[in-house]
Amino acid sequence: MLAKLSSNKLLPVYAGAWLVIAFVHYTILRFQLHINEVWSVSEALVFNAVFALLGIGLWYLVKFSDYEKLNSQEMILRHVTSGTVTMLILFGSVYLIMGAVSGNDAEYMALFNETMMVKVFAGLMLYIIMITVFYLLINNQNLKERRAREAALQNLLHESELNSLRAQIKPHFLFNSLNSISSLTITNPEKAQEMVINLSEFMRYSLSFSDNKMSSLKQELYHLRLYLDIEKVRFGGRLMITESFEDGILDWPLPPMILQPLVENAVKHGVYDTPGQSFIKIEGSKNNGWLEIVVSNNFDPAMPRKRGTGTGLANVMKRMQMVYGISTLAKISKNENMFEVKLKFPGNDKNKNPDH
Amino acid sequence: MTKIKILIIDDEPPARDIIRHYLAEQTDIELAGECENGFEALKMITEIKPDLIFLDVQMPKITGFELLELLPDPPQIVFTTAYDEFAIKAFEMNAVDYLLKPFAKARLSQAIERARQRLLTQKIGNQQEITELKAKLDDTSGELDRIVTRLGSKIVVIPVDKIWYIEAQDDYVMVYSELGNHLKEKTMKYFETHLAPQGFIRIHRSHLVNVNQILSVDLYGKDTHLVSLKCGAKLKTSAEGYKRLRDLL
Repeated sequence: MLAKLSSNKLLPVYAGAWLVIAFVHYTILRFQLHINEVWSVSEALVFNAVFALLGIGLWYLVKFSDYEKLNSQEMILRHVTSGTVTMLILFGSVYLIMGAVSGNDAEYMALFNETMMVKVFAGLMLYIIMITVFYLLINNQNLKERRAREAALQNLLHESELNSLRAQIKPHFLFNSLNSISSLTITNPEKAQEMVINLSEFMRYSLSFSDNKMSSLKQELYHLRLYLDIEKVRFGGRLMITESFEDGILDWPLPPMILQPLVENAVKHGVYDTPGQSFIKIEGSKNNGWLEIVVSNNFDPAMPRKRGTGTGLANVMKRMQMVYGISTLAKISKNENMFEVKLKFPGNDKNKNPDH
Repeated sequence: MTKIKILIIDDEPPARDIIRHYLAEQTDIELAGECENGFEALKMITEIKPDLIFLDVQMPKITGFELLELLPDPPQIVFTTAYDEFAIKAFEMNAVDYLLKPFAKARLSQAIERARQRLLTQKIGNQQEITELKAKLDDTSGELDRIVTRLGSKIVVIPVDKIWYIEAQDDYVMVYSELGNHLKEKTMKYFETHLAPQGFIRIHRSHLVNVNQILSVDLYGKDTHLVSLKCGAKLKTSAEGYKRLRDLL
């Protein structure tokens, strides 16, 4: 911590200031009170050295006192206390040390006691000036730190916005779906129309979502099924979906589009990468006042995992943490050929749901 | 003239449907078959020897590009894909055309016309073209995360972390791995560049070793060291290879 003080180049300035004060102190003793050279120098040095050391302690007292949280009454009380303690320690130790240095010389000690009131007054003034300067410096430092933190937070926010944008617009999915529609216009125009509507509805939902508004499990599932219907058209019988949901959980509040990346991931590592059939299971149940959603899929264990995957899941983790402030709500597990993601959502009492 | 024999390779049924429909109105072509993944495709291409294939890039197990690596004498290729990130690579592979999905009937006709021109002039210099093509492929940059080889009609996908070491053998390399030993028609130089980021190091003119597989390196003779691998193999280093190894470890 001292290293920090000196690295800020504050320590030399601090020491310099005390030397100047000590010199003034000496001048007064020597030329106004006509005390002899040795005692004047000793007193000026001892007094100001002790004060300077106490000052370093006061610096940390101010720095780590969370003064922004105190009201003015507490603040005044605190400084009256620390000021008194500082003065007691200061004068106590100076008295003892100077007693020893002067060999308890009667003349000097009498003079010391006579000028006590002036010294205490000067000491208190110095104390007040010192504390004020400390507050200004620390305030300035905190302000800089806070600005840097705010800038970092802004960056993070911006980045996650970009990521979620990227998550919404998957060119592969979009263009392959359009290709399927193009094909269906010839082979099955009715089905083509249905798919255009599904795709539009799905895109509209995914473009409009924001983290400020909560959705519900019912809404999430509705749009998930739109997405899966589209993928089923693309892959035909190769994609098998099973769903099971406990009764009475459909109105559960959920952040919008939170399940989508899980299912997309399951599709990607299942049907995109597996010749033959691929299974995706989506389950929902209530457990001790929490909603648990599990999305699982089989995958081909012989396939090396492609690079650049996992950003979708990482985004879900980040969002869960951001929305609920708890980092343990998402769990990923994997065995030989099954991949599973489990998410836990707190109920209504912990989250307001303006949409319902 | 003879009909152009065509094979469609795509894992999405509607994508195959539309090509089939477009082709129905073409003359002088014959649709010889359809496949939904690289495994089927390899078998069909070997059996029916098509003149032209419509090839999707992203498919389960092996990509369209990896499939081509396995063909000693590839047919004319029209890539069909939803996203144009592969366009440059496709043309490096000497593709006839590159169709972005969804595409119009006229665009497909154009691709077939180009293929027809190629097939007419192909007779001369085809072999040379293939050699050039393969050389170009070796230059394509990027890391590898798996190697695809074939054993007869069987395709083996070897993840890079399962490879022990690679040995030069004339025009081929032998890939020694947990999944067995497989020949691959590529140069050592190719693997040396593409596997370097994955921790492979050329310890000798004829050996490229997975650093994670190294058990110990011992002095063997003047200027020579012996690298012992977890799989039991013991390989000699060249002076230069040892230097590379020492720099990395």
